[in-house]
Amino acid sequence: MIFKAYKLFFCGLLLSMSFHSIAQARYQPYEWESERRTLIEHGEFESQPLYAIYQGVHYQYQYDYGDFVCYKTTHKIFKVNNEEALQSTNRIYIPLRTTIELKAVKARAITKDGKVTNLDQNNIKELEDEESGMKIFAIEGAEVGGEIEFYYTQKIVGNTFGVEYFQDDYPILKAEFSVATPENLEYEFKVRNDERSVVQTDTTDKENRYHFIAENVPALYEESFSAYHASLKRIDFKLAYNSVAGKKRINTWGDAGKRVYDQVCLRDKSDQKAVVSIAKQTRQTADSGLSGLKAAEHFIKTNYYYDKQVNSDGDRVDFIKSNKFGSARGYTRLYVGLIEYFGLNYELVLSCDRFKMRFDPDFDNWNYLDDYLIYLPKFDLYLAPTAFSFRIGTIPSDMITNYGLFIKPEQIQDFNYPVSRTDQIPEPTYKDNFDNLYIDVSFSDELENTLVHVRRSYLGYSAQYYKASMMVLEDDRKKEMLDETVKFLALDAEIDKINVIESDMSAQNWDKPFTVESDFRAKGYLQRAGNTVLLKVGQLIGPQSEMYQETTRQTEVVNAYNRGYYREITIKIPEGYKVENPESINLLEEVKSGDRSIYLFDASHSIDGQVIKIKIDEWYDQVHYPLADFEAFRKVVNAAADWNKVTLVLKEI
Amino acid sequence: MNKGVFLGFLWLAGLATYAQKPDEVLLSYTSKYPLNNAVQLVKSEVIDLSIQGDSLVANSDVYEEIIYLSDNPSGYSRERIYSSGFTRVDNIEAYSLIPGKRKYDQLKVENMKDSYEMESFVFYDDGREITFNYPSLVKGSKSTLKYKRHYLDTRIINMFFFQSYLPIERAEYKIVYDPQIEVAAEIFNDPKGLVEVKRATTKDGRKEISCVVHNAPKIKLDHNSPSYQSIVPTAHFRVNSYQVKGKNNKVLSDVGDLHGWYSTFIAGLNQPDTTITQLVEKLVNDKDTDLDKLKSIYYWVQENIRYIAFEDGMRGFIPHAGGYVLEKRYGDCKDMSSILVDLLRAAGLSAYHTWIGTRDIPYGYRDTPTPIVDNHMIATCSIDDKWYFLDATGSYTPLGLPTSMIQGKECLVSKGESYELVSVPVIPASENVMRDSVSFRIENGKVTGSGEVKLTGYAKVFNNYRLIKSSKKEVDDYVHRLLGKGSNKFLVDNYKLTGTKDLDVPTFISYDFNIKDYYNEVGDKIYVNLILDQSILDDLIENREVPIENEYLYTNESISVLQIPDGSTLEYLPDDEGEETEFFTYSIKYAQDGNNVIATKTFTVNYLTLGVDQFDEWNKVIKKYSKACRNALVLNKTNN
Repeated sequence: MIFKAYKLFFCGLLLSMSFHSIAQARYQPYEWESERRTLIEHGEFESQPLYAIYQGVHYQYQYDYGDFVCYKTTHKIFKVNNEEALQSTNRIYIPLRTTIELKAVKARAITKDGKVTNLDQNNIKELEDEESGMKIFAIEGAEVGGEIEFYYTQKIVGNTFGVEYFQDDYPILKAEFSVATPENLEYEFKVRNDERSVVQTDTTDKENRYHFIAENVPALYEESFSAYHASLKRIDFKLAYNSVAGKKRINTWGDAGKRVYDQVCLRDKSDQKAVVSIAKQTRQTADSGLSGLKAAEHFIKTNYYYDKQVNSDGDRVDFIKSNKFGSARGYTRLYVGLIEYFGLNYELVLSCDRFKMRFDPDFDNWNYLDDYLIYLPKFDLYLAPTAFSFRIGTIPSDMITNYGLFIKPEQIQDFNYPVSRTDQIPEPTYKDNFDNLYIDVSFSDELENTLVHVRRSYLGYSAQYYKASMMVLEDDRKKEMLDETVKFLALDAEIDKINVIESDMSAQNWDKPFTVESDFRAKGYLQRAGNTVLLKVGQLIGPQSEMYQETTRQTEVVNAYNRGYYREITIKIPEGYKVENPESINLLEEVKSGDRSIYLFDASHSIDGQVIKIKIDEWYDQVHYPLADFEAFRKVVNAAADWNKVTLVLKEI
Repeated sequence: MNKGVFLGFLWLAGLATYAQKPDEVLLSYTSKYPLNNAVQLVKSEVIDLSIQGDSLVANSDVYEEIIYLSDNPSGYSRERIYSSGFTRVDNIEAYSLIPGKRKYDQLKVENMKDSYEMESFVFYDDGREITFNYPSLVKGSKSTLKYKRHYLDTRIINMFFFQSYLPIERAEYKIVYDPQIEVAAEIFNDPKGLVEVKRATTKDGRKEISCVVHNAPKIKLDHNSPSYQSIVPTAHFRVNSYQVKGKNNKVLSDVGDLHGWYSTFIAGLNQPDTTITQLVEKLVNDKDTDLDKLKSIYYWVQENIRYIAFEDGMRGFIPHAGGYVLEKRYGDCKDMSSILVDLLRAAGLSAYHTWIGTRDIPYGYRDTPTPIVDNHMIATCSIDDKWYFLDATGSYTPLGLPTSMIQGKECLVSKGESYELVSVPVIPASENVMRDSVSFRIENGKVTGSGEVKLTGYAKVFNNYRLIKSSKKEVDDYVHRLLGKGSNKFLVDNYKLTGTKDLDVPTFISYDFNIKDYYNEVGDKIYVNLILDQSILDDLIENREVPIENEYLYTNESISVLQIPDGSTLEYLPDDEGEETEFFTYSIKYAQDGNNVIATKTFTVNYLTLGVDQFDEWNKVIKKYSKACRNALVLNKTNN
């Protein structure tokens, strides 16, 4: 966010230099159809509770007495065919962040009988805030079966980068997007998740005009194992050329790298002093290398606090040192300082949440530069400055597989100069993230209860999350958290004993497993059918994700991360009983890529006297998987859920 | 004891604490609170109430002090102060006290952010929140916070809660007031008598009342907890009256005073309005009885006026006129109440503006005749001595059913100069029923059948919210979840939904379904559990310190009819089971009828609030119920 504020500053500077030579265009107030009273039925769409008849965003960029500004109009018309549809569209929020002036707000409701109620401007209310704030109003006179229409024009600081969505969870009959700029400014556009493209339509040399229209855009719904936001149809755009400043492409990855480098990698004396002081507090010497950095990271992440809302003071290392909280940029600057202190090489990485946006290395749109990572090339490890639960080697899963901008400081003679490239952030394998179960089951005398001993071992994301939580929670909450690891297996578990048996929370071993061991009793695994006992053995592994409902799929498969589940279950069948159907345990479902098994569920068993041993290997080892092959992925996910239904019939001999 | 000596002694005691070194202070608290990460040492508000000119003025000093005991207290850094149109806040001073060897170093909080408060259920809110971070907290640090609060109206004075998410060493709520004023101290939710109330007179002749609690343990809230104010010990100062120039001015000495004040909010309403009369004409001209007129008007408002909530100074109390609401087609609860009263009166019915507190508020008008009792407005209408509670903020609620959130509450009905207190009934479980009956056959490992769900009362109302959605997919998904049983392999093949729009008939969902891998076939035996609905089997209550609230009382009925496959015979049928307790009742019955086996299961959840002392009994009956649901019948494939 702070980074974005800087972007505005940057473009204002660059572009205002050139306004003298450019004709001043006049702001053209937006007009809507003033007498739009007739309500048109829209065929098949009428069966939809809610659809948009029109959704348009129009940008008019201009020089305004030396400032580069934009008049941005947002215009929507909804048809609301039921109560919920009306309630979800009758409250309008206009964000005022970056808004210089709200030029116009108009809204009206048109009932199915054609009655028009216009918004009373006195009923627009403001929610004031030091930094942003909002104007809000409710649509007046709206009825089910009618239309809701509004538009507003904001005079905003001229933006160099932008994104506009033209898909939602309701259908859109007509989506429109337009940009008008002074002749010297040339914008570039990329349309995502759609075949259409933005076209340039101007016929004069006074301005550039760009236009996009899409009709009948279907609704997109949330799906499991999917990146909903990143899958929505949208337009990314950027200012690519300014002819007054030369022919060179502007706002490139290289430009971004230089800017970010200056902001993040350079420190004044006071900041440098703070870096050294923090390094010394962790009792690490400058020659301790990676282990020194690990110790410092651990110290910071267990004693300091990341505050998303802190103002720009939080960008300074000396502020962080004396206050023990800071911003994302502040922490990144601190780690860069520490890395240099410990004599390591690094590359700064900027990327974004892949569930919101896929970073496109071929389109230098700085909107992808949202979050910081630091890459240590010598060790091939990443550090996430603001992920306080994770340590070097583990980064938030929403950034893996995404591309990023890698900024490497290179020494050229006496100067450090940032060299930028784009590259993909790797995905850890299923072996790096596991949740394994070792379960022994026996029975109480009357076969009323199952007696279960379980060892549950985590590695990776869950393990580190548990460790971080153990450090901050009060005892009662800690106990609840541990109990949950067992209650996941049996909601009715009566826990006799539960212990953490493996949890090395030291800086150097943070990436080692977290393991819980427990003894519990549960009745829920058992059903009776007269003298026969039904053991719901499938429920011993806890409820599994399923995709039984997913018949029509709209988006590719996107996993949160690769992961493995290995289980060993040993069941001691009571004397005098025999398992009638052990073969129902076996189940195999697999997806291969070449020779490599990327998705697997494999359950098998062996019998030794009264003891049944079950082994289940399950893993997911590729984060993205194409829509066309969705069914194969679904089969593996459902295999685990199918195994939940396995029931052993224990019959008296 | 001589007062001077007493005060001196306190001062010395205070000095002694300060003379303690920070590490000694930390040690004393970690040994007293070994399980806590932080302890609130002081929570206090001292109100000064005085007569200025002819009016009352109330301001208060708020002070809070916390000590942090855990290794990494930085997660506690963030602080929030709320204010609203009625309680303005200023003079905020906040510090971190960082332990040194001999004393604490004081760090002042420099940056505070003032922003609007946004709550999902209120569209526009004049509430503000001031947020900031305590800097540099480490183990053994303290934070202190003080500010002034200005009450814009002495009838609206905050309540004070003696418990919080941290243990509190000393919580004090105090008022110092001029002797011409009469103040009542009201204590709620204090069954253990923790709150000490003391009255005194100051040296300069003013009066004071202090309410103090020492060593209040922390409150551990949980899902479906009753509201905070229903659980924690609470105090409230109510201004009864005051005397100026020999004249006694009543403030809030009884319900009459409160009603008198409230009446001023609705005084300007009910002006003649042709849009209202025209609409009423249209709505009731073909209606013969008063009840039909009432229903027609009530349903029209429910369907056509959208609920949008505003909290905006006195607008928080004063409704808009009915005609205005009619034009805008939206309003908050007051506006809904206002348009209803206008329309009903225009139709010649006896309708009244009515105030009420939702179930979140544990006190009634007779407990304390002040605005802390209510947070809601409805309209009431009396026909043939029967009261109708008309809360148009609740969509899909049929006439005769109050909204669930006001069940069992007492409302203040305004009848011009006079008023009446009327109780809203609690709707019995027998009216809020979900009945699901299915008939199915088994074949090749798969259950295939058809069924019908019938929803009445609140079961209809609350499901309607989920069945009327802005996307069909959402409705499909919800229907699947609502009907789902047997296992998550339950699939709805098709369904038909009727009755959602007509509030006077039940909602019906008829459907075809299948469940793969539901039953077991081994050798010549088939094992099938006819209790497909296994909900609330695992609702055991553990590690919980606060009561549980239930939205409404309800009954679920599930009927399963299994067609015995050709060539098979019934070998074993489980026994019938059942039990009745005050808050949970169940019964499971099996029967064979020719080629069908029928299982009928009914359970009733019969509490609105389940107290902590009832949890054991609840768990006991739920365990029995769970066991009873885990029985399978056995079929024998004799002919094979």
